[in-house]
Amino acid sequence: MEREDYFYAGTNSIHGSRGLYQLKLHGSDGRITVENTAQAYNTGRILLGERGKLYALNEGMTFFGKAAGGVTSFQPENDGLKITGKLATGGQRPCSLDKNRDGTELYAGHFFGGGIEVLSLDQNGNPKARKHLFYPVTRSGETPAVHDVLNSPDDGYLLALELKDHAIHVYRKSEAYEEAGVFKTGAGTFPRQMIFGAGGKLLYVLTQRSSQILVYSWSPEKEKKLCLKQAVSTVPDGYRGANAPSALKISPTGKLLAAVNRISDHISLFRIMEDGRLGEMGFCPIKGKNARDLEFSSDGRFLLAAETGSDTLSSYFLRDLKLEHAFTRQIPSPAALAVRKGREV
Amino acid sequence: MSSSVEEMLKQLEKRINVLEDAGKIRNLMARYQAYESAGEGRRVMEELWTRHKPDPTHEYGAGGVYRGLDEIAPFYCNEKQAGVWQFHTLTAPDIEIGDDGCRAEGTWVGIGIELDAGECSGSDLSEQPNRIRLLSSKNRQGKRYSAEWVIRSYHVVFTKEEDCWKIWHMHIWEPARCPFDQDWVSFSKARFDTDGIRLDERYKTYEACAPGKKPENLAFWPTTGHWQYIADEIPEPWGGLTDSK
Repeated sequence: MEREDYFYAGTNSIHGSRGLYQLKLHGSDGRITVENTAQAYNTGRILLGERGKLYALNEGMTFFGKAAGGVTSFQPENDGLKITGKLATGGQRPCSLDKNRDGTELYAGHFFGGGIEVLSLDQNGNPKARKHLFYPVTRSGETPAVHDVLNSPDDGYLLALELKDHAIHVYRKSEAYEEAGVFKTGAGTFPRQMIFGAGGKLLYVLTQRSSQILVYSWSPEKEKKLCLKQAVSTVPDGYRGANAPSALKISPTGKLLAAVNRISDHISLFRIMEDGRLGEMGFCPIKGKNARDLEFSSDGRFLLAAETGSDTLSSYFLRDLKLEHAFTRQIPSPAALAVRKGREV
Repeated sequence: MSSSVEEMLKQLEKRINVLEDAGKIRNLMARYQAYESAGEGRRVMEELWTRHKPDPTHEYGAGGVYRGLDEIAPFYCNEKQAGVWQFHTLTAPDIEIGDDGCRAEGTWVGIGIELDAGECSGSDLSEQPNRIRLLSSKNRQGKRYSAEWVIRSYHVVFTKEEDCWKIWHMHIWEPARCPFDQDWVSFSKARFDTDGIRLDERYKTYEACAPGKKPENLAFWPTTGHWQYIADEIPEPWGGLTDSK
């Protein structure tokens, strides 16, 4: 019996890209086959929603007549992905997307202008309206730049990574989205992406310039909601080369954390210890270049890497803290990945 | 010579310099347009853009601001494609020379045509989906191509280097674009659907990025203003001829 995963790859609209790719990962050998494509413009993030819905964040400079980015919703059907809705966001180059727990709202963060936007969804899960747009206040007074937004596990807060002040902004969800704390990640760190783990008790923040993962405890009930517990490097001791991590993911078992590093073209694999802190690390080379995203297969046996710089999508067998190359497929400028739950066939 | 005559001569000399500078700038832009229409974009970069001023910028439509010659160059230097051509004319120059004689600003209106023979050229476009999306017309055999009218507005800031005027900042936008047999209103929806691709295509680089360079050529700053886009405002002049911009 073979296990297979359907997954999606969003691409930059260059090098002959066909937009959004619906792919299949074959569990027997890690082969990747293209099932379908759908027209989509500069998909920088993909988010899976309720009832099979898929959201593509279009991170370009224009979106259907507006100088803005946008969100497009898709519904997988037998003959491919059908566009079911689209909505321009309140700024250019949106680069992050998340949703609330019951799937009634989306949150988008913008690199240009730093706007954080709440978008409402209709009863079918399609983008309906721009609800609220607000901006982190930077201490320097500079225009903010937001690189990630994340809904809190308790659904009560929205977190944002701001790049000018190198800080995590926490907002209490309400009509006004008032700020509930600002936590500096350190000068020059450039916090890029974050993810909750350990049952929602820990927040892992990936920094691009300092090549680190910062592990914070998350305590929404306390006044100080984030407390730094650990800082680990995504490169081994003694590594002297250039590096720029781009994405991090936690395995389906919750026992591994993977971060992909651009320029050095390695994936860092960390064992997650009982208390959620990161332990032993494996530093594994990948075939392609400048990967912008990665994903675990639904059974945790494979890692997929969207190798943007080499126009490739590769699968790797996970062997404890090592990776063994399984398969590489040419896909123009892949930038975002999302895996649907797999099935036995 | 009396001081009043000397003063008058100085004033006349200054006025002649302003007229000469305005003429040189008109010629510079005429050359710019000739090079662009002849597919000689590399000469635009090599001969007409500043070599010494910090942070030269280029903005086209709602594509955002590209900063520095490395980011700007792909706009002019991308590989020529068979069957792709453009021809623009410049009109209505409004040139102001700064008091120091080293900086100037100008605006122009351009009327032009752009074409892509597309599927009529015999080329295999199956691996160029973006190019196919931009083909707005079909011939009787159903082969897609584009033949479009384009109105452009230009706002350019110049700097004088070694007694030659050079482009320092350039901002171009398209108030109207449409296929030769449609009007710009009925074409607007189709245009909005594909403008992002059109703008990205203009700046993308086919050349491998050198170590230490950005892997993608993306805008450095957001769009400064484009009235034809719903969210934006009418472009404003950059405000005075200062060194900062």
